[in-house]
Amino acid sequence: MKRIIITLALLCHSAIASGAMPEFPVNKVTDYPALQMWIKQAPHTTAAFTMERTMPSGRILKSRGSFEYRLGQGMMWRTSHPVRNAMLITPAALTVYDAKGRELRRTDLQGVPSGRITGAFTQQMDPAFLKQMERIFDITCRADVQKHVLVLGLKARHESNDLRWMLLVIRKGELNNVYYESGRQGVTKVTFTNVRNGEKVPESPFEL
Amino acid sequence: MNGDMLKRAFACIIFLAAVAVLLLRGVHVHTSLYDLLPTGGDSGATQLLERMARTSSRQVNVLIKGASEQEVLEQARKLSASLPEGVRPITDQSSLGRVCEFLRPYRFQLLSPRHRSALQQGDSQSLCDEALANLYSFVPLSLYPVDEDPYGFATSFLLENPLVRQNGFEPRDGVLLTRRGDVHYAYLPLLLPETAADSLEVLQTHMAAIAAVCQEEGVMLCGTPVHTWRASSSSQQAMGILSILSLVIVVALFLWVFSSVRGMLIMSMTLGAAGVVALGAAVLIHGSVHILSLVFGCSLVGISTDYVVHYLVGHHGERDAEISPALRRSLLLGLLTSTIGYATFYVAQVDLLGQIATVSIAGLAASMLFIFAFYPLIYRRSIPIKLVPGSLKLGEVAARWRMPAWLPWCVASGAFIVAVFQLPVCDDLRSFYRPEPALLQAEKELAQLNGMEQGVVTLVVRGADTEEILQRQEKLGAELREAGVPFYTSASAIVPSAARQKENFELVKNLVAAYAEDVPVEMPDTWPGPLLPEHLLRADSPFVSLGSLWGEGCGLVLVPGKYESQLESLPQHPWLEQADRFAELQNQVRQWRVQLMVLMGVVLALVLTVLSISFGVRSALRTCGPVFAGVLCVFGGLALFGVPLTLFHVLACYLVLGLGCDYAIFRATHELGSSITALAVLISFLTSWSVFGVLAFTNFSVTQDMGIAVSLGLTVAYVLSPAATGAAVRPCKALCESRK
Repeated sequence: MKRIIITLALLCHSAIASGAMPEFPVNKVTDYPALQMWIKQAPHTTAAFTMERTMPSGRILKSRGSFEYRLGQGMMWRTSHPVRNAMLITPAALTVYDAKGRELRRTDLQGVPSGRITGAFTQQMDPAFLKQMERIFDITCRADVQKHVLVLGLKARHESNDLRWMLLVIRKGELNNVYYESGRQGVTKVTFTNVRNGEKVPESPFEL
Repeated sequence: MNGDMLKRAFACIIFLAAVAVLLLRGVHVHTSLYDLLPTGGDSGATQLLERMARTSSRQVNVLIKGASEQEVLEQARKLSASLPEGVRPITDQSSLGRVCEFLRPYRFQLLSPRHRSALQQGDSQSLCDEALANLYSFVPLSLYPVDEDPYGFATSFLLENPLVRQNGFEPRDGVLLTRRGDVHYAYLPLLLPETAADSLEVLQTHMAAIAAVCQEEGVMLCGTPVHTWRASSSSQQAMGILSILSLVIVVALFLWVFSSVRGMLIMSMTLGAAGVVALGAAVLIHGSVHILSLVFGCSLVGISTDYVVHYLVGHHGERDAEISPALRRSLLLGLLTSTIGYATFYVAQVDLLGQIATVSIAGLAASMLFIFAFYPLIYRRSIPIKLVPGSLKLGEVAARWRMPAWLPWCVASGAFIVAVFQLPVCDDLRSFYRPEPALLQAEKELAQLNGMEQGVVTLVVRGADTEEILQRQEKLGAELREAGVPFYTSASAIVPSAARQKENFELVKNLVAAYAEDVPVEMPDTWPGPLLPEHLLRADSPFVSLGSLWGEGCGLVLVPGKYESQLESLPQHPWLEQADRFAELQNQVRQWRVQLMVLMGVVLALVLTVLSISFGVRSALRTCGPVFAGVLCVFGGLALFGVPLTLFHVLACYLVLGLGCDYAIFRATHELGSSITALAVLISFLTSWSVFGVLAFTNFSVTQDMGIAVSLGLTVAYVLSPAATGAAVRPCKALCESRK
């Protein structure tokens, strides 16, 4: 079964990006320790990203920028093209800043699915957060040590969830791809390059 | 066919006619208290206020308190999932989803104040930045598919709306959240099905089911249905216990006096038949009956118990079942005085009082008819009822009781003077209700959280049509903001006027054209027409209270009471006025109370006149003394103890009048030392006291007020009734002789 996921994740990028729903195994296989280990090994990650989004209307949006993850703090997405802005996501809130660093919008994430996912990652897959995630998603986490691939798959348990599914692919200990489908945003594929893992989380706050 | 047969045939026809009316027209008993409230002269605004009260009568507020946001949110979500069938959260995701879908065609013309102000000020770059942030965000920031609403106009319009957001609360995942100090709150407004507004039973069933899922610590329930449920449940429980107690006392009394329950069975059958006739008459005349008029009217029919008691005691051990002329005369006089008393209710032209009068008069008359028609027949065929020796002895003791004729008048005068100088009054409906401390605390906390701790000021905006009302409300909204009122609720805050919607559409169109390359949006070229309040009302949405904010010819603007001083600086408009429903109702209740008190005076004068014609002025004065004293002692007693006089005390005085008159008339028409009459009056007093007096021990202020007043008035009227003994014996004999 793990082959299905990994094959899907590695070979069917285009199929997923065009909106096809990946096959999730019926039996959940949760290899959380592997995921926890990866997070522990890379508590501070920086990368460049390119995003390709196929919106519900079929229109394709492309953007690029940089990404930063800090264990215990949150993650920052800085978009440099076609718009310059930054988005800080913590388990508690999502804050959007414009190019001048002014706060455009702040949305509380307490209790909402995206807040739980962020919470789980920033808290090193804390069991309490995982439990909350399991209430919303069917979770599959598989590691293929030989191929150095770790895949995390989430599938919404309720139709009302906006986030229908998500796949996170980590290759050779580096964040590689994120795929997800949102009812309101369409299917999004994020590819990370130039990934750098730091062993220490900076004490200074996120830079805009 | 002799006279007795005619009476029986007539009684049967009346009873069958009542049954036919009930079968053909059906019994429509209203239970909603809102049906009792006066509709007032000014139709539009009053109707809206009544509609608002009706809407709130279905809204249950669940307030969850906790140490963290996560905790209260989890609890709220768990609670939402386990709600009983028919109860739905007002602000949950699915209802928000439904209204989102409904507003989709109008998404380019509905703007939040923030977005409208940015567009008017030409701050289009920030709006474009916001749209790009929405488009490229990793988490969806809008309620609509992002390419349909990239600027987030429709999302902000919905989420920043005062009816969804509520003052001081943040909508999150279908739950409203806020915090005060270290305490976090989740607020979950729930809506009961429409049938709950009309049926107490439905409301009680739903409320019990909600309460069962809200038992966890930190979960508080409040809102109008909770008050109705708690008050009705506790009063039903108390009334149930007290009814059993009353029944036990009455049965024990009958067993002791008559050594059998046959007398009671006859009495119950008479009261049952009289009740059917009373209900039939009320349905025929008024179409439908309110539960309160039925309960109060049937209590008055209970006066006819006295007639039965007098017949049974008067004929104890006799084979002659015929009603003696003296008893017939006393019974008819008793009926006449009671009828005069209740007929005056029609003068007040209040439907509830009219219904009470119909039920009482028809019931009393029917009861009397059944006694005259059937009692001699029943009595002749069955073994006459015998009084136990002990009760006869008691009658003798009671008959020895003497009282000077002037004493009741002295007592009445004294009570009158005390009442005139000291009697406080209370016409505020809210004071009739004393909620449980926990419920009061929940209401207080919710009011503090949504800024309504000092109540609400209601402003009425008038206009020729919907458009004019909405435009005026928009003008008022700007003036309110200028006066320093940051939060208010009005129809125009939810549905802008057509003119403003068109203006919004043009502003959005220009913006979309300016940034067509960066933020492409498919937008119609022409304005699709306005969204009207009635359209939105059709959507099953969180805007359920919109219906009570907007109506024909006027609309309401609700401002938190704490901003009342700021309202003074508002410019004067001929189309704007302040409405105070409680003051209006208080005035109406005051009017009813004063009217009933004046009518009470008229009734006492009429009773005196009728008795003067029958017995002569002197005898009438002696007869009326105890009744007058009983009624006036109610007012005097309340004044003496500083208890404010309410409408229900006055209504209770009519009961005192009906019962007290019977005691005095029976005493007056019988000679001194008549132990049988004294015993009959004593039994009547004890049965009436056991039925009405126990009401004083309930915790429901309306029944408590009535119980206190009836107990006090009846006791005084009974204790002083020996003063009337034999007052009308001579005039009665003279009348009989002259007839011979």
